[in-house]
Amino acid sequence: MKSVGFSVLVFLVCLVVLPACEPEIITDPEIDDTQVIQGILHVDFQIKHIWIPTDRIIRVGLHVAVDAQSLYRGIYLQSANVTDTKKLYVFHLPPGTYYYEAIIACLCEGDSCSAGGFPGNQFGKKHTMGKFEIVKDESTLVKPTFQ
Amino acid sequence: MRNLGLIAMILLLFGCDTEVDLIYEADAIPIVYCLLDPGEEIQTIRLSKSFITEQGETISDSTELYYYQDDVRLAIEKMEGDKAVQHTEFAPVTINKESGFFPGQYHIVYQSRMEIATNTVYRLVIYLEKEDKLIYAFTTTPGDFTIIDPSHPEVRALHFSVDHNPVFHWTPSENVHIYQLGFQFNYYETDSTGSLLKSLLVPLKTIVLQNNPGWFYSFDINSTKFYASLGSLLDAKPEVLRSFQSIDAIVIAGGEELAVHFQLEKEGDPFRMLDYSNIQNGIGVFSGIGYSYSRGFRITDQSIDSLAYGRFTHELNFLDRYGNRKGK
Repeated sequence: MKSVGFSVLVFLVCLVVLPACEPEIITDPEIDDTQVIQGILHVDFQIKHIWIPTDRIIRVGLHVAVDAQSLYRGIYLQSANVTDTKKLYVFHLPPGTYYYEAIIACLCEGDSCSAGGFPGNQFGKKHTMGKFEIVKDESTLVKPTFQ
Repeated sequence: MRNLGLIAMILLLFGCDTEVDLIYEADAIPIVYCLLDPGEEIQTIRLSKSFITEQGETISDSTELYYYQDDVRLAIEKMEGDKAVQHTEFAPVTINKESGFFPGQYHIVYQSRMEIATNTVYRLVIYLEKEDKLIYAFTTTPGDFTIIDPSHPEVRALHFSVDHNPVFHWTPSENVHIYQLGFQFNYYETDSTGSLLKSLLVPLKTIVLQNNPGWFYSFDINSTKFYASLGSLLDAKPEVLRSFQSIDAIVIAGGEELAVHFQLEKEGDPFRMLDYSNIQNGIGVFSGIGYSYSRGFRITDQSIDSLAYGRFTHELNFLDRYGNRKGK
């Protein structure tokens, strides 16, 4: 009987102590919890080039739009902060058909960029685009390639 | 015998005074703050002294806050081993106060034109002639460092949205224990009299680091926090229209003393009796600071629209990507 009383006491203490140990969950107020993200786009943004060393080419932009016309007009749904130190980029999107645009630029000085196939000289850009599907609970991989 | 009794009575009466004076007049303690900046031509030292006031009292007399300038000898010395190889004297300058609570009418700081080398030991020496007191401190200035990302503002735009936080990459610097990441936000303010280019520092993340895990550091900036900070730092002015001009990425590096000071202030330990100080015979911080910039970025059209109509910044009257303002 004594041990039952002790167990009840331990249980009551646990009831009081355990909720106090629960870590505080901090949520970003900007994120709308009602918006369900249903698919993922992975973009494997490699830089390959046959005429110019790849360390003289940088990623400049990576955008997603709802249709090709929006892409052309620069009305993007989402954009990535591209860097030289990251190849893989992730977008969370609802199911549907979308278009992406990837942009690279040449850093060489003089006329090396135009000789290597980039329009203009330093900071001349090349664009590529493609269509992709986002399926619910699945991830889609695209690999932009440049001419 | 009667006189003796009277004297005893007087002594006893005075002995019954139980009032204790909590504020004891003592020598003032020198308070010194100095951050050596290799990027600045002119270095600045703040020297004041401790003071005690009754509740609600303000200081009207500057002699209670500052030392008499003729009594102060203040210098910074560049050190090589135990030897001072360069000695620079500092002179008092009166400057305008920034906004905030300050007990005095104006500020006196000590300034001198002095080139500060990176990765170098410096000694601060203050001699107070009247008190015959020597105050000194040592620090080692931060080494050089550079921002790797964000980079190439000529062709890249920054994008601030919930899923896509801008990432900062920078090379570690020697003698640095604290970094602050942020943006210098440049914008035009237009009213009936014309347009004015303005600039605002938006500090966003402070990181205390003591080891170097690789060849660069990597931390991201929360896009929502960027808009929220901008919204709280910039005043809403219904009579002006604002437009985005450019944004500069900034990494600020601070020495070990600054890092310890920041950590202790942040922790706010209630059992801590004294503020951190690396000033001998005084209170304050003598440390080094360094800046690295990546200047002149555009932000994406979507970010410009968020600036114009987002929930944190919509009252700031920024123009959208088309140069319009809904409702204007």
